[in-house]
Amino acid sequence: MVTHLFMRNKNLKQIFKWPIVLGVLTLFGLIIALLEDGVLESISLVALSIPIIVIIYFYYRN
Amino acid sequence: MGSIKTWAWVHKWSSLVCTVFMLLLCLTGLPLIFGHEIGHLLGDEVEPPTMAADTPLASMDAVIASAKARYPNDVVQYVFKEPDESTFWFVSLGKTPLDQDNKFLMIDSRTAKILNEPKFDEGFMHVMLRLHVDLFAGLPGMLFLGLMGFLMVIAVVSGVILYAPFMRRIAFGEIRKNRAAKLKRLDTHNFLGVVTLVWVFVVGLTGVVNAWSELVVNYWQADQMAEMVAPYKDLPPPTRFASIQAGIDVAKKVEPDLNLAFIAFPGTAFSTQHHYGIFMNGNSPLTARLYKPVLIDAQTAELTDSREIPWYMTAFLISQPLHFGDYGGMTLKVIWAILDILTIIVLWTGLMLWWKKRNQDVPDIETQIRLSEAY
Repeated sequence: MVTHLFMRNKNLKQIFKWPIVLGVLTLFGLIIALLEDGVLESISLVALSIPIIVIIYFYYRN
Repeated sequence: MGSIKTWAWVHKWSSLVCTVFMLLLCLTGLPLIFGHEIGHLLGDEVEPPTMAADTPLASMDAVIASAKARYPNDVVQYVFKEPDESTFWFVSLGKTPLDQDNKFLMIDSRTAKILNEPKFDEGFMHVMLRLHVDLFAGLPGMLFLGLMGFLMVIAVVSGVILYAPFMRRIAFGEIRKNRAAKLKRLDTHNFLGVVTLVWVFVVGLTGVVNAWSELVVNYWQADQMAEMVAPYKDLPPPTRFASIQAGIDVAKKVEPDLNLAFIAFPGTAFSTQHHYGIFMNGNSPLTARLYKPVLIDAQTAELTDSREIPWYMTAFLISQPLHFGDYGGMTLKVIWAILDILTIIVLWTGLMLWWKKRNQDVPDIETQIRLSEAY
């Protein structure tokens, strides 16, 4: 697989798009879970799980 | 943005200095996340007897009397509790109010009977805690680990800046597993590092804030406590003490919407020689940690003063749950543990990336990036 040799250089926006999305999700989860014990807490726990799922998915695909 | 070369230098050295300590903090932090559960498993913790939920609580005076009956020559330092637990109190006693070599009693809050005498200062979990907090070196140890945490924050920031050039030609999440081992290591380091970034940053930064806790509390005493108790400055310490339950009742009138969180007895770090420091808290994960101090005259059980805690105490108190991950039940603890392990992998792959090429004639960073792309 040498596709990357023919790939054009990515710009900063392309490089950081997904890290920023996952970072915002993490920050949202960390802060919202502090505020309330109920539904918001469950939502923030889901938000905090997504980066972990992303890591496992990308690491073990193929 | 400065040259990539400079950032590579910053990333290398800030990481190298702190990595060993960060590995230690990650490894000792792992059991600490589950401290409560491990305590149960080791059988160190005693369950209080089950009683109807509306069983009235014993007077705090009776609780204190039980503790004093067990240790008649000691003074009571603090009464505190587990979060979300109202069936028992912990009472700490020592030779003096500031005695660090103290004893703990677990006392049933409904019957005032002593349930257990937990040893918080020995055993496996205590070793983990001390290694994590101060390396058994007291305040200098805490501040040293705080400095290492600060270096880690620098390593994280420089790591993000280096992430960009390494990712110019590979897709997000791409791990080149089928080529050189060092490429797999590099991609794993970059990918796991960037995805866990915000968590590592928050836990690292709040850890640094926690490292300053002793100094923050000292400053708060010198600043606000001194102001609140100024009229008592020249009085001799009291010899007779009013009922602590009467003091709690006064505090509950001052803050009817809050609950009793902990009591600091006269002469301890959170009170004065003349006062019971009664600390109230709310019910949400956040307000449960933002204590409201109510100072009660220890001789008359009358209110002396109560005011909001200052911003620096608020910052310190909010940084605790964000560091411990103890505010979202078992699910959050498991998330904390997984992210902790992922951080260990980032630290380890980073260390290996450096170790494997330490004796090689290493080309400069821009050539390295090009080489990594050309594979």
